[in-house]
Amino acid sequence: MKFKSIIIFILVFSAGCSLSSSKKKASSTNYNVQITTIPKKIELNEPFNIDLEVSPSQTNRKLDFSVHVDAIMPAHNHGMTVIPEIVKVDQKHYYVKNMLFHMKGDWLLQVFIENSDSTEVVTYSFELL
Amino acid sequence: MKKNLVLIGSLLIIATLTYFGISRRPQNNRFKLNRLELLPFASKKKTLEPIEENLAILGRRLFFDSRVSRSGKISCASCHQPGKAWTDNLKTPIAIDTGSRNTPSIYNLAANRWFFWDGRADALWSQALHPIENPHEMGNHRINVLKLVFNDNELDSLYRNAFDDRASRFILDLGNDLFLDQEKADSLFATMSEAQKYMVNLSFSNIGKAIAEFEKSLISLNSKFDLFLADSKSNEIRTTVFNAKEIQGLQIFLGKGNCSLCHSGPNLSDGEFHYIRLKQNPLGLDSGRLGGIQNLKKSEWSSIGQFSNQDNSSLTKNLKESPLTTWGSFKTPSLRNVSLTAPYMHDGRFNTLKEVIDHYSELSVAGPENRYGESIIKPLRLTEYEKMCLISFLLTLEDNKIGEELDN
Repeated sequence: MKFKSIIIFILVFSAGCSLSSSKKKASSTNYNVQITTIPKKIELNEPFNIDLEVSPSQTNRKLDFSVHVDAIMPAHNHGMTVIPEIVKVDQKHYYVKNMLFHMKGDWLLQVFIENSDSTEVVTYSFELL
Repeated sequence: MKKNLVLIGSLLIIATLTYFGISRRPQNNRFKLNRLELLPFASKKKTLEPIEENLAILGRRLFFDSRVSRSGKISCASCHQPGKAWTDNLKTPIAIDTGSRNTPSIYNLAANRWFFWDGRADALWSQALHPIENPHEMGNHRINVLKLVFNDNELDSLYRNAFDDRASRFILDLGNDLFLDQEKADSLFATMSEAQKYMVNLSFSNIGKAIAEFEKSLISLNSKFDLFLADSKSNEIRTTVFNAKEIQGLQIFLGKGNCSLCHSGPNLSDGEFHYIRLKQNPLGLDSGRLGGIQNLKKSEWSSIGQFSNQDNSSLTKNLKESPLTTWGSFKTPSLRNVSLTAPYMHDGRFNTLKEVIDHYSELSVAGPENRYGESIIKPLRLTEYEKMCLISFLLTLEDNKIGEELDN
């Protein structure tokens, strides 16, 4: 059992670090969030967009929320040089324009979901080579 | 049990290799080829737009014409001298007045997104217009420049070949003076109708577009480093291209020195702005990128404006203006021909490459860390030998065909 756990840990660890898919899912306490980067591959210092889908979880009744997106490089203590533009497409779809990763390294993309009570954050990691 | 341990060990190795992004290409003990391949210029070259000949011919003529300045003695080429890799080798330029920032080279400008040390222009044609009306540089007025062009047979003919607009020629009927002093020119411009102002501005923006087109033709891609890259792309490293010191210098550039973090891409510059802990003179503080963004957003020549022919506006409009992250940061300069472009840094404070490397290595007289902004600069603690190797590598970035572009 212990051996199996180690194997699973290692496989998850490797997969997580080498993910390059444009579609990623994550959840906060009350929301499920899926992002798709456009174009699929993020290029250094080239603007890209994000197709963003935010769905309240089944138990969540806070359906009135707003979305804000940003990205940071924790190791460098800075974020992006531009403010992303967010266009609400429908009740749960958003189109985020003006994303720009201007340095190579590890980026954390943050989706902030704000409702009347709290702000929840969903993060995605990207390694830009 | 032994089998399990082998399996765990193998998986751990795979996981570690994946984590650090190490490819499965054969490793060379002396030289990590895979690190080089990660550099954008090795894998992807930007396709440059073709040069519009008619514009470039006019632009070249104007670039070297000192009559474009108020004094009649300063041209673009006064500071951007072809024989000096298009710099002036001065700490700060001497034009109408003495400038406060070092003259950068103008090679390979087409691939840039921001211009000047503070990025106050977001298009090459816009950059070309700023010095003409800057009172410290050429100090002229757009009305005088247009009068010069339309009154000079050769320039007028070149302008007609390049552009269709004729409307702004009405300025030839406004008085006989070929040159108006600043006050008279300002006052004349102020009395014009909005339509007339638009026509003058359109023609003046065309002057910028012509100069930009000439500048776009100044390409530097003939260095020893380019030859080395061409070789390494096919995985056949010819050791005759680089000597041992140059290879070690490149390894430091990519590794211990981490220079390629900002000095990446075809120009060995990310084209962005960084605070590199240069101590500022308290009596002459330079806000750098912060002032650049503020000036760009209110510039009539930016990509947001009506004369723009390229779309950078979405980024320009949304640039973050936070003083904490932009104050005192300056554009990463290209390292191409760096051996020819001394002195260095935005204010020309360092005379030699050794002094530049000493700054990054020791930070002995550095400015404070920005606790609220970028914190990428830490002392590299390079040995004297490592510094020497790094300089050897930087010397390989010198183009062996400097100045030949004017022969074409």
